Amino acid sequence: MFNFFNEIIGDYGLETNFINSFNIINMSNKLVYIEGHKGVISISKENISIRVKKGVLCVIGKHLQIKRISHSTAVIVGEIKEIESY
Amino acid sequence: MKQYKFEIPSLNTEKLINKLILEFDIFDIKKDDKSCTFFCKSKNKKQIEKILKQFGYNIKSKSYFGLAKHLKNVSSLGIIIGIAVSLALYILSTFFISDVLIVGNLSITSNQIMQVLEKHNINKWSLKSSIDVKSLEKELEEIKYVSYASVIIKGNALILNIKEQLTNNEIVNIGTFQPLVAKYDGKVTSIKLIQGTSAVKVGDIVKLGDVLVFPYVLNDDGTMLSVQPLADITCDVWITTRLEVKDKEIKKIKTNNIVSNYSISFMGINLYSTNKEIAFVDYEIEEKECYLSNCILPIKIKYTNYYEFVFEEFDTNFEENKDKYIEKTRQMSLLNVKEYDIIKDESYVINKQGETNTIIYTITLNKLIT
Repeated sequence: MFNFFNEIIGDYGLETNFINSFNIINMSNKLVYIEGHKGVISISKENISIRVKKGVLCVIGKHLQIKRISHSTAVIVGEIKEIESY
Repeated sequence: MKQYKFEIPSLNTEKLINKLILEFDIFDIKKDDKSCTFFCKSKNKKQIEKILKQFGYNIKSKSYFGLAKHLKNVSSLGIIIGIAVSLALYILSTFFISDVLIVGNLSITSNQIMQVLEKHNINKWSLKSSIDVKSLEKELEEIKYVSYASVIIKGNALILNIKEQLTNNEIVNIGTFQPLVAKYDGKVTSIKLIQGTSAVKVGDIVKLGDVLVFPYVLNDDGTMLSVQPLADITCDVWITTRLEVKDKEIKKIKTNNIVSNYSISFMGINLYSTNKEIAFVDYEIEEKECYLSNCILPIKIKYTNYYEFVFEEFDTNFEENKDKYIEKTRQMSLLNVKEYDIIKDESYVINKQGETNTIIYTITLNKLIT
């Protein structure tokens, strides 16, 4: 089956352990797809924090909402201004 | 997809969600100061509810969402069986024909066609797969006056489309037909020529008796063949009524003055009569004759009454009573309209000439004039 992240790694000759952390796709600052998260830290309309391997991913914006979340993937929608990782 | 909605207090929801996402997919998480709502699949609702209780959450509300909202009512076994049986019957019915439609037959009766179907053992609720459409078409084409037949199965209906042969009846009795003439005056609005040669076109003004369709057709070789002229020609027919109202009218008024004379006669011989003087200038006479009694003798008595009347001039106040006069004219016009006539338009014109006002009321009918 097609795997977007594996395809990129293949194309650019990167090591497979390159993706053993988390991956993010930001679509036009309207939707963020997160793969490989470890759970939710906080939820509000302005800020959604997600725990990732060795850090925290913070999505800042307006009218934010977790559209779908499962044990490893999450989709956040809203007016995304910033994505911080620390 | 999301099917069941939970609403819980917003405290420590992150911890709860982290617990839930280990096992389930959670949708549309919305959180404000007071509450947090999220959706889950309806198949997970019981397990999620159990977890919520374990975490000590007081569920504010829970409800079905979308299609699940409607399907939740279908929990009764009877309803489920009913739906299943209906579906089964519906699927079963698609294997049979439930209706036979015969179209296009004019002179050929439906019975003749049904006989062919019976021969093929086709009737309502016959199996679709048992119908040989091609052989049925061939058999139908063998019926006298059928030039072409097509048979199709559409849905649950068997549709038989029959095209009949065109007979040459229209060219017999050469020279014996009369042209079709207009029954009313009017303006032609539509022509549906069945046979013959049209003498008018749409927009033509025709008068009563004008020829509308000539009783012949021209062949390709230019020869003229006499036919019975047939056509449906509709016209705008105008019904016009005129009412004249003078500014001052003279009215005949009866006074209460009356003079009565009578005479008694026997076998035409005057026996007695009164002869009061008539002093009236204008009067009306009323006469009445009858037998004096029921006895054998034919004695007759004749009354003659003289009623006085005078002529008075009065103002009609046309402008004030205009609406009343217009309505009167309209009613007079409507007397000439038949119940089945279609009124297309109504209009009136008022002309004033000297002391005379003339109301001309016109009703436009759309009428078949052939």
